[in-house]
Amino acid sequence: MHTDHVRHIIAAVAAVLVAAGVLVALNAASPGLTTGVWMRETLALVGEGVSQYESMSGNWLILRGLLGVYLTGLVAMVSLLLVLSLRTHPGVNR
Amino acid sequence: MSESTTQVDRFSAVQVYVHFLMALAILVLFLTGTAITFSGHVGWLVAVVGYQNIVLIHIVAGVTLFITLLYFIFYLLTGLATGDVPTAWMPTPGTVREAITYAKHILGRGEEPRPGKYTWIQKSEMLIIAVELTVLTLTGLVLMFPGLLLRYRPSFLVASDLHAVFAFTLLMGVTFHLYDTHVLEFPLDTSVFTGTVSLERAREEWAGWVDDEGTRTDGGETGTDRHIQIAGVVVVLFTFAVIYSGVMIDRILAPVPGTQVTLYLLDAPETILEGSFGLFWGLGLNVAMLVIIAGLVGLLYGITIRVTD
Ligand code: HEM
Repeated sequence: MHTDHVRHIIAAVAAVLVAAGVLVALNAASPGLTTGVWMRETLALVGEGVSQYESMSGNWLILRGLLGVYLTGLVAMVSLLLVLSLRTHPGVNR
Repeated sequence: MSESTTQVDRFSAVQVYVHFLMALAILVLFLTGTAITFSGHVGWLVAVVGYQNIVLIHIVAGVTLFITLLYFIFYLLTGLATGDVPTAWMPTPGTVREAITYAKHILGRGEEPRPGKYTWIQKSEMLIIAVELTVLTLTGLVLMFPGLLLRYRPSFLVASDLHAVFAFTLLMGVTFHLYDTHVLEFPLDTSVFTGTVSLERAREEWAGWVDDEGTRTDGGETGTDRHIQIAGVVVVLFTFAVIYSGVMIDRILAPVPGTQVTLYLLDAPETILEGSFGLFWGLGLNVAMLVIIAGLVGLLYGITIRVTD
């Protein structure tokens, strides 16, 4: 058999096995909820008992801040490159 | 054969099909993800498909993406055994020098850079996309099991924050990518579907890749259709403004769930997003949906060229 075929087969089998393994493990770690109940509904469902969040809120604000910096930095950089493309590409290729 | 019809190989079959599957999954994840976060603004999609189905489609596309990425990783790893590992994508000190040359060129000091197979911008895009997809896949897998929320509450909600913010950062990155491949190469850059580009274009864009003498055409046949390009830039900047402000208000500056704490006092994000200026996000998020749908049409058209070739 062609080596490239072997590579495809190994890759496909490994991908499916690893994916299945990860899903089974996560499912086992997740205590009972009927399927079809998703994150947002669950959030609404358990919204009351809030005290455990409070210990997280300091770190959480740092995380939010970092995410905000990442988002802002990336948008600024990409917008700049976009505008500069008006200089580096005078018009479109057809 | 004239230079404009000579083709050079650029992408292997694996690259073509992995790109297709990934892009398809990601565009579907964008459509459904935007409908989950901003369901009020793209209510038509929720009305047509139904909220439960939207989440379900999102998960099916997410698992498809997960398997595709694993497949590609394992395929590359098996290449280690056969000594066939692509290296052209890797950032090197040369990539940094190229970025500096680019900056100098923009400021009018010095020559254009002569990139190899990928320009420094393309290499950065690939790296950022790889990092973002890793975060999105890992957090997405966790969000699939809301039972985890009951047991590991704060961590689960951190995953949800990460998932939403990275999703919309990626959406903006992909919008920029679509500008490169649908506007600068109007109406569609087919190279990632056919696997080849014209020698002429290769010399123009990746002078250091095809040959080192490089006869350059320096914008000879470009320079037409400036208005398409300017319209493209305006549309992209508009979607950036909408998505960026939407995510800042809906996530970054929104209250930490269950506490009164925010980064910046903002108790009810939806009163802004759906209040008197709501039209801005209503219009803008639907423009973003059209951009995603245009990407899907281009993708399906491109892969048809490949299979019917
Ligand atoms: C390009 C990749 C992806 C993008 C752009 C994306 C986008 C989004 C967005 C915008 C949301 C809504 C967040 C919110 O406001 O609550 C979301 C939620 C979600 N995503 Fe993704 N996602 C991606 C990948 C994945 C993957 C790989 C999976 C799973 C394998 C996944 C599973 C989920 C789940 C389970 C939810 C929660 C749905 C709910 O119950 O509300 N996502 N995603």
